[in-house]
Formats: sequence, structure tokens, C-alpha cells
Amino acid sequence: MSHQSTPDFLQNLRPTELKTAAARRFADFCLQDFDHQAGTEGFDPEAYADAVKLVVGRLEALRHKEQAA
Amino acid sequence: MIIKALAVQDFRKYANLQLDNLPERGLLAVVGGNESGKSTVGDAILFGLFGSTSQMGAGDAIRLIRWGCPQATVTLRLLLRGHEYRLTRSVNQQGDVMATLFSTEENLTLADTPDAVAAQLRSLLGYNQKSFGQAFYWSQQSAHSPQEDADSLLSLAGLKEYAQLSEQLQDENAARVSNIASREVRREETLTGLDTLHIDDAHLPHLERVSNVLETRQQHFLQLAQRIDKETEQYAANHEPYQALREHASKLGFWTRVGLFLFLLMLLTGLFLLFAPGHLLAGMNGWMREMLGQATIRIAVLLALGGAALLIYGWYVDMRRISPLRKQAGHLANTLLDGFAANNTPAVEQVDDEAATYLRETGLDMPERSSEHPDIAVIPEWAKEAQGYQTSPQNIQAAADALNVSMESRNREFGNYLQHVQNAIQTEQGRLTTREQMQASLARQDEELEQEHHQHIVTELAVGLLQRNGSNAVSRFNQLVQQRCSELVEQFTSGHYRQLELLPDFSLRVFSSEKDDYLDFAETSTGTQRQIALAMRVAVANALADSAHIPEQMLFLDEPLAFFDPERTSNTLKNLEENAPGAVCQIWLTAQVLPDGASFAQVIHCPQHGNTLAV
Repeated sequence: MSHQSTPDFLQNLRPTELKTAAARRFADFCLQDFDHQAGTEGFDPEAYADAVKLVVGRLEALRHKEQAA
Repeated sequence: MIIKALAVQDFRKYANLQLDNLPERGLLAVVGGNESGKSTVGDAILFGLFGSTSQMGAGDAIRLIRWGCPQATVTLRLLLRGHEYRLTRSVNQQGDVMATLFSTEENLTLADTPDAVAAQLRSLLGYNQKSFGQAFYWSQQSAHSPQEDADSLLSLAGLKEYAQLSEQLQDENAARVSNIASREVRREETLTGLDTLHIDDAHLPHLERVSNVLETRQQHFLQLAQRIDKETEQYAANHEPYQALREHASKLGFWTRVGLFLFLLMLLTGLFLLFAPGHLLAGMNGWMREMLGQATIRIAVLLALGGAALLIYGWYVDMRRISPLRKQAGHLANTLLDGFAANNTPAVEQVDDEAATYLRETGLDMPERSSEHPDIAVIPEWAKEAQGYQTSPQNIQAAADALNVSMESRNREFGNYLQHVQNAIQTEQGRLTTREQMQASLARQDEELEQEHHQHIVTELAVGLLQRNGSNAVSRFNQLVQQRCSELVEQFTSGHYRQLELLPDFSLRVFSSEKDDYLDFAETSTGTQRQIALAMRVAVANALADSAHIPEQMLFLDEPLAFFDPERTSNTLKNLEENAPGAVCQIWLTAQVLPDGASFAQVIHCPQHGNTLAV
């Protein structure tokens, strides 16, 4: 991964530390996908990081909701 | 894995449940009304295997103990790859769970703690509790709505969370689009409001300048009135002394002129006596002439000195005493003329062009003169005379009184103009405040809109990422469906539907033979969805059994026929029965009444009343 333009959230994202398998799978995918996308025209790394943050946060929250249910 | 026997003590409603010599192949029907304990059979199998049920986690296992009993125990006799095992699991009122896995052939305890049993089972079965729950156990209780059938299918694909989140995010984005549209409408309204204000930024400074001019002018009238009073008083006080000083100065002038005349006379006489030819003064001897001449000169000198002294004194009186009084009189005359001008000049001519234009635009009534008092007409004449104290203090007082009335009137008049312009200032300030508030509101709206747009982009990106991440799982699922389920779906739905397909956006569609086109899974009837879900469950169960190299596998279906009409029931049973020769060979199903249309390998009737069942 090229760390030069990688947003902080993605740099600090550790899939193994996530609680749900779905979030771990997603984080793994995004960390690999980011490098592929980074070269494309019009790519916005911050928006990408925000999107990953949104999904990871929701997937982790789903676990809490399921536990509460 | 086949269940050969099930023994239960004090588990949920059963004090004792004993199912022995269960058939290894075929359909096993568990029949009974509501609360008869059909589902408890499935719960007992789940608890025995994994320590929890579909409804209660391991932490709630204590709630599975029959009311008033110290502990619940489940014993399963399992047949796995031709070997027989006995699995016993119990939970007591303290929540302590005990588990033992025993090999009946080797007469050996393989594991005697819950963790060790779990590890051994995972190794023997080749799948864990989650996979078992997804592939080999299906409960009507956990799938009581059509959406849950779809969820169940997505769960099989490993995409349930992604699909749920994707749908949630798309719903949020749809709401966001509507929110953005309404925010943009509000923003347009704010912009229109701003435009309709038509605020000219130069207007308020213009009004403030006009206000300053009017205020200064009003102040001028007050000061003028004060000056008139003060200088009138001084005039009255100075009038008499001035006259006396003028008389005194006049006398001094007279005596100065007399002294000068005498001086000249004496000087000429003395010079004549001293220097005149002798024949002109023949009667006078030389000594006499010289003495008289010198005496006359001396008198002339004395007269000159006296005249000079008088001249200096006269100058002193004029400069130090009369001149200040005259200057004061001059000031009074100017003040009177100022007052006269203020009275006789219309307001628009007393202010600068900017203020004059404003006053004309107001359309206010502007009198030519502030007072029509008759004394005012003679003020210029009196002012001229006052410069030399030639008019009486009474006249000056009359002029002052008339001008005071005039100044008061002008003051009120300018007060009205000032009030008008201050009202205009207040209105303009109010409009500017409104504009500031609207501009602040517009800035806030812009910021919120930008955030919403950003969030919209982020959410779309998130949905795209979820779908791209799920694409492999979608492909795997569709491959599985193609390989394992196409036929089953067709069989279970009597040929009405053929192909189930998961799309990249996590939506499910099924091919309708009648319509010769794909239909959204949600558009099909509840019964069809349930049939397709069951077909998928059987297909997945077979696929998992195959991948785990399990030759014989049980499948537990809790009330799978609940929403089916007799035709669907018969068709489903027929297909389940036909599936029994495959890897999934022992198929348990629960039902309220024994369904027609299939031959059952065993029928277990659950007691509606009582807590014991032995088969």
C-alpha cells in the first residue's frame, strides 16, 4: 500500500482487531482495493476512507445489535 | 452425521424424552399441536451438539431447564462415518455446563469438557455450529416472514450483513436525495429572500451622513440661541458704559486738539520771537525777545507733552475700553444676522446637497421661514446699528426674543427631519440585520448541503465497495445454485420456477417458467419463497455434507410446511423424500398434523398434555 496518500483511517485499520467476520473481510478487501483504485483518475482517497469507515462502523454495530436482540 | 437416539431429562417441557432406534434414512415426522414440544426436539438436538439453541445462546442455557428441576440433560447417539458416538450435555441451575463425548466402539471418553467436546466435534463433523445452523437446521420460528427467507438465502451466501447494510445505506441515500432536494428548495427561498431585500450598501452611510448634517444644524440652532441670549445681555450691560466711554473719548479728543493747537501756537510764537527779523519786533530789545522766545518754546514743549499724554490716554481708552465693547457689539450684530438668516432660509438651503436631496425626497413640509414675527424684519437694521451701540438694548432684546422663538421653531423642524432620517436608519439597520441573518442561514445551508452531498458520495461509494467485495461470494453462490439447486428449485416449485440468481446488488431473482423471465424474489408468493428457500437449504445441506465428506447427514426442518397449501405440501414432501437417498438422508420435519403425500420412516407424536415421550 502506498502510504504517501493513504488517509490515516486506512493506515490505522487493522482487520484482525475487528470484532465481526464481515467487517474483517470487508477491511481486508478495501486495504487491497485501495492501491488499485489510487491510480485511477478522479479517485478521492478521503471519500474512499470515509466510505470504509462508514461500512466498518455499521458492520461492527450490527454485531452489537444482534447481541442485544 | 445421523442421530440414532435422543434422550432428554428435564429439558424444557419434557421430564423424560426417549427416542430410540431412529431410522438412518427417510423422513421423520415430529407431529403435535401448539406447545406439544415439537420444536423442543430440535432444541434438544442443538443443545446436545453445541450447548445453545437457535433462540437461546450459551449464556441463557439455564432457561432450558425444566421448571423446578436442578438440571437438564441431553444425550445423543450419533452415527458419523460409520462410527457411533454418545454425546451427553447438561446444564445446572448455577449455569454450569458439562459435556462428554464418548466413543461407543472404542469404549473411550474422547472429551469431557464443553471446550474439548466442541473441538472434537468440529474435527469429527468438519463444520461448526454456525455452518450447522445455516445448512442443517431450519426453524419456522426464525423465518416467520418472507424477508427472512431472503435473508436466510443471503446468509447462505455469506452476504446477509452486506445485503442488509447495502439496503440500509441505499435507503438512507434515497432519503438523503430527497433531503438534499428540499434543502436546495429552502436555499433557493433564502436566496430569493435576499434578492428581494434590494439592499444598497451605500444607503445606510448616506442616511448617517444626512443625520449628522441635520444633527449638527440642530446643534447650531441651540448654540445660536444661547449666543443670542448671552450677547444680548452683554449688549445691555455694555450699552451705557460704551456711551460714557464714547463721551469721555470725545472730551479727550477735544482737549488733545486744543493742546495741539496751543502747542503749535506757542511753538510758532517762540520761533518768531527768537528768529524773526529785528525790525518786526522793533519795540523789544534782544534780551527780552530771547527770554520770551525761550519761555514760549518751553510752554510749547509742555503743551506738547500734555497733548501727547492726552493722545496716549485717548488711544488707551479707545483700544482697551471701547474697542472690546465694539467687538462684542460686532459679534452680536453677526449673531443677529445669523439668526435672521436661519429664520429666513428654508431648511434645504441650510444643509449640504446630499441632505437637501434627501429632505426633498421625503416630501415633508418645509416652511420658508421659521417665524413671521414682525421684529424679525428689522433685525438687519438693528444689527447694523448695534455695531455702534446705536440701537437701544430694548430693541436688541426684542430682536433676541423674536429670534429665540424662531430658533425653537427651527429646532423642532429639524428635530422632525432628524426623527424621519433616524427612523429610516433604524429600518435600514433592521434590513441589514435581516440580510446578515439570511446570509448566515445561507452559509449554514450551504455547509449542510455540502455535507449531505459528501455523505451521498461516501454512501454510494460504500454501497459500491460492499457490492464489489461481495462479488466473489455472489459468484460462488450462483455457482452453487447452478450446480446444486437448479433442479431442486424446479422440483420444489413443480416446474413453475427454475433458476435462482443473486445479483451484484444483493437482490435475488428467480426465473419464472410461465413468464419466461426473471422475477424479483420478493415479488413471488410467500409459499414460493418458502419452497425456494427449502430447496436452497436442501441443496446447501447436500453441498456442505459433500464438501465435509460426510456420507450421511441429518437435516432438521421445524414446521417447513406451515404456509403451504396441500398441493405444495405434497410436492415438497415428495421432493424431500426423493432427496433422502442423497447425502442428506435423515430428514426431520415437524408439523401440526401428519401431512399426506409422503411415506414417513418414522412418525413421532408429541403429547399435547404430559411431559414424557418414549418411542
